[in-house]
Amino acid sequence: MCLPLAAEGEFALVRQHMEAAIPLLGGWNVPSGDHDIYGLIVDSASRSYDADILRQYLPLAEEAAARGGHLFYQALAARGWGVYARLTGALDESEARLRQALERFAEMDMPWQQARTQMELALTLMDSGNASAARDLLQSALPAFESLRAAPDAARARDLLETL
Amino acid sequence: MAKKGMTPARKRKLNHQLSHLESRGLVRVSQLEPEIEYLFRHALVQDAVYETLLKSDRKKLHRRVADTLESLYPDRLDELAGLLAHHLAAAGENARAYGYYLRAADRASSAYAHEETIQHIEAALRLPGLTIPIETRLPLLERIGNAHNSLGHVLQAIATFQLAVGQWDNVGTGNAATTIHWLAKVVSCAANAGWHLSDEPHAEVLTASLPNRDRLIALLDSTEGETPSREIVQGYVALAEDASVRDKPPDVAQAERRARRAVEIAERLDDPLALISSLSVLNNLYGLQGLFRERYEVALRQMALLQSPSLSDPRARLEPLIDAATSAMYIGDFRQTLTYAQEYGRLARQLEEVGKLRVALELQTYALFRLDRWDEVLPSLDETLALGKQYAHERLSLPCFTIAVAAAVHFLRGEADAGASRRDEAYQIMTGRDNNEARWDRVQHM
Repeated sequence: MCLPLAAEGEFALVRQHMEAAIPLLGGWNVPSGDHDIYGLIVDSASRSYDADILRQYLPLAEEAAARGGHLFYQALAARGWGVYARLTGALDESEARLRQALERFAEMDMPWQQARTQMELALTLMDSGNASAARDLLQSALPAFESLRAAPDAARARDLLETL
Repeated sequence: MAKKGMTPARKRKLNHQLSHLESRGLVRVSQLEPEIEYLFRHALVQDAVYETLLKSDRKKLHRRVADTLESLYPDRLDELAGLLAHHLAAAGENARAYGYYLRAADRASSAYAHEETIQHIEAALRLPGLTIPIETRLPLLERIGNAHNSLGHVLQAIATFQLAVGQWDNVGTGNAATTIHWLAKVVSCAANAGWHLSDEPHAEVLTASLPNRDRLIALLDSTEGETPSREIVQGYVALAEDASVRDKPPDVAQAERRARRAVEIAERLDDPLALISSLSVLNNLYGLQGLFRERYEVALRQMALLQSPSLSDPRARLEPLIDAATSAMYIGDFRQTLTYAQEYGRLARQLEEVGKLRVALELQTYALFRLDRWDEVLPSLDETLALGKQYAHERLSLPCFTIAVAAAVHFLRGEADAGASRRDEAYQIMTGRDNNEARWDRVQHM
């Protein structure tokens, strides 16, 4: 149920459900691995800009994704680190991690994930004072959101563009 | 049919009689082309007319109908096999009826019409006065069991395989390979019944299969050092499947030992089909242990084996395809997941494997969602729901996961009402199906 909850923006509920599932890991009736659980927690925390949760779960998510060789969750973890670095003021680190995530999502042909990452990167570049590069990224993300009819993300991208 | 090959005078007389019956409302023309056909207007009329006939006359008439069909349509006997079998059985011509029932079953099997296959073979086996040798009878029982399994009727499938074990034991030839084959069918079917049954009935099925499992272990132990065979591979595969579900938590180490033994023997046999099924069970075991990269490697090996020219049966492609689709999903390679799931779905549709088609659609929908191909997610859900309606009699479980994915797309598009509606629908299905909300809250996290 966490896919619709995350899409709806119920990030706290997603975390609550996922944390309840952690003790079941390794049990006979848990079909997927820990990368699912940590991946979803980290992505929700990235979207709600929750640095505490990111700090707690990013190492676990990154390790699980690398262990399972999970391309998608590796990209989610990279974006999570990028968001966390920005929230803690490490802007160079943030930019590097977000560019890494962007590259991975592009390789996997995931337009919404790419556009979301571009928007996060734009926020980092805005904090770094690089408004022009941020604008370019948002102008690239906006048509992707519009094409997907991702109305809330498109509205946010437009709002950010207006501030530049 | 009735008029073909008649003299003009007989034809005139018959036309007159049929017109009379039609004007009295007893029969009606059901088709004009390619040949005119009449049907009774009501089954009760047909029954009443039938009952007025002496049994000996009925038999003669049935025989005449069958003989006429055979002589008029020698090039359409496969198509008419079911009808011919029916008339010959009613005429007491059981040996001839038997042949036609099997012919009708072959035709149904080639069209993957599992219900019809079962009906025709069961009718053939029910014919009185025939001595069907065990070498013929057992493969027929296997076809019935396999058809039940394809339809998801696991209890009937297990009962059929157990019947075969009993019949084979009664013959008492002591051929261990055949006994292993039948015991493995029971054990494997019981182990995999969890796909169709909830926990409690599945546990009962597993308990009931325990004597078969223990006997299979003993037999396989006794074959150590003997010439490897496909049946021995099959036996180890079944035991690995059994070990992976019998206990909670499962004895994965035991299951993996058996799966590796199956792989090793299949490699020695150089038998691609046996190797595919051995690798498939190893694939699942890696999944259970969270070894997803290793699992994907095994899946790729299974897919490579499909190139073998000896694998002509399209059914052999099913297992490697679903294993590859699932394995790709667990490493986040959603493009490959989609490719394999779509091919699996096409094949499942062709083979009339409705349950497998349902699984294919679920994987396809999830892969589309992860690839951000949202426009295709909602039609994929529609297709899944339409399948449930089309095969309502199969009682496919409701696609709560697919509905949840569709809900996510609505929310991401800002369509809050549609999203909430689908989300609630998915939640109700999920909790209603399991009848235990707390457990689902914990476990169903995706």
